[in-house]
Amino acid sequence: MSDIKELTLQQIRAGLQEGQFSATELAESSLAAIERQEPKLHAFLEVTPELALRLAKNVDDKKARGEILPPLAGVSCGVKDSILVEGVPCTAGSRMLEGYLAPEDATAVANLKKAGAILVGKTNLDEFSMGASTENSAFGPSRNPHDTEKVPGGSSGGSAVAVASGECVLSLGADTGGSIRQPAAFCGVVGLKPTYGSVSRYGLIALASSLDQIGPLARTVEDAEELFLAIAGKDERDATSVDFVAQNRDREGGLKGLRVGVPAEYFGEGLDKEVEQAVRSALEHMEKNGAKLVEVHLPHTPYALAAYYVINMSEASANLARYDGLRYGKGKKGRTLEEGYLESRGEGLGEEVKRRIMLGTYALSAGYHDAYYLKAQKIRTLLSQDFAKAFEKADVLCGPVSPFLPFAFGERTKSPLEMYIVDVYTVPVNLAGLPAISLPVGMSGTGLPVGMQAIAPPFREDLLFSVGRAIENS
Amino acid sequence: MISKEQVQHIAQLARIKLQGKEVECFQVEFAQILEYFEVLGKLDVSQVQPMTHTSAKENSWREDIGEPFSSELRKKMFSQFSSSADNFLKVPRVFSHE
Repeated sequence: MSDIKELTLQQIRAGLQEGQFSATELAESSLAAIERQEPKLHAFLEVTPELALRLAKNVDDKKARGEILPPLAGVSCGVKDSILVEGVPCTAGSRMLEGYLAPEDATAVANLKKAGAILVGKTNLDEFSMGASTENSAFGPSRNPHDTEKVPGGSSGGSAVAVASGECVLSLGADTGGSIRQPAAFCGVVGLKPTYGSVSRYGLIALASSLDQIGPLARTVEDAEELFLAIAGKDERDATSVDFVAQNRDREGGLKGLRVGVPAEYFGEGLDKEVEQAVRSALEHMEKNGAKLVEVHLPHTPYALAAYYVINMSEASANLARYDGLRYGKGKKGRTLEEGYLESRGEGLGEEVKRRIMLGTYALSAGYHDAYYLKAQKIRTLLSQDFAKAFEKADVLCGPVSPFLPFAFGERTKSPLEMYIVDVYTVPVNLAGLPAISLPVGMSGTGLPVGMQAIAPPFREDLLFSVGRAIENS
Repeated sequence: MISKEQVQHIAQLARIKLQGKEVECFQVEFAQILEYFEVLGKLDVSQVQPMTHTSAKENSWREDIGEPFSSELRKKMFSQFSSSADNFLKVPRVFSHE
């Protein structure tokens, strides 16, 4: 059987139908790739061979009974370790949840199982999804398969590494401020942050509830689209999920006549030259294929990062109050209830998590709420209006995913702000609730991947996939 | 500049016991981050409505129907709680004599 790294969903489907290989063989191939590469990459926090082989057998049994195979049958899939898989440990990269077993499946995971996917393990992340490099994982970082001295990006770094290295075909990540798109860019794969509300967040360990969204990482645009279609839709258990029908239509005529907005603010000071070059040449390619490039402005961009971090930290401080040493896992026992809280959280939580919880607590406290949280929410309105105005002139917006190439371990850990700035082009999208995709558009001189971000109006993921296919075929 | 006492106070509000040099480190970092947040004050937003959510144009309603909770799921959830006895979750005393 050929390496699963070479296989697309379409080829897997055809191969299974024609009996070239079984789902069990596909699962075994993925598990073998994991075993071979994990010592070097550390993409996974937990590998689940028993679950994988059981799910694969279900698919093979279905095939033997002559049933129609579901869309993701036999496709190996990693799941970010902030998303629950029944009976499997779920740590969110934190000591706080060490030993915690998920009692049920997240809705997105239940949908994956229904679609016939083979879950091979839980992927590494920055603790509670707070970070852009996986260096904040309590269990050690993942490594970029293109250069193991460089970070894979984060927080869904393990999900990106697993797909890029061929340990599995697809993976689920979650994106609060760039956590799918940025690692996808750093590892040279496709990553989609769907419209807020299009995928259920039930069973996702929350960071910032008004920003979090589960989404796919894959090696091809079509594979990412198939995974998105399998997990999208209204869920009674997530009141913010939206009833809509995801479109899988390709744009007629490819890029012909498509108005591509280029936000001037995304090509400013601090943008790496090689990143800019790769993105600009992708834009030129789009123009050659019939797209119309138009300059647009998102004037409130300089305020986005500060507004984002105020909202992120404030919502995180409330969401993470539940990790008290009692509710989940086994915490410290103090002489009093409060002492137990203080000790459990003091020992169980990592530095960045403490930093954000404390700053969020500060920003929400009496006397500061209006100066920080309320102001940030107002700037959120302005950023959203910026996008709405830009979409009057353009169908999609394109720019870099991150201003930087994958950086070395330790390069940005000295000051928190150094790490926060990695998200500067991705956070506005979450604040506005829009869909955006990260597409590989080339390599630096040193062999590191560069990603381009395409942003669309709400629920127009179909436009992003059309752009993605055109870029892929260049 | 935020003081060491303020850092300790916030940590207490957030129910986090700080260890070793954390107070000193956070004091310096919080000052840097809060200084960065000052950019928010440079914009006049007095006439702008705050945005709390992107999808919630109206409330999400459902029928008020009770559903039986799976006893198997209950058992699994209990097993992950720090302590339980006789189908009750056990927590330390909330009001202590101290």
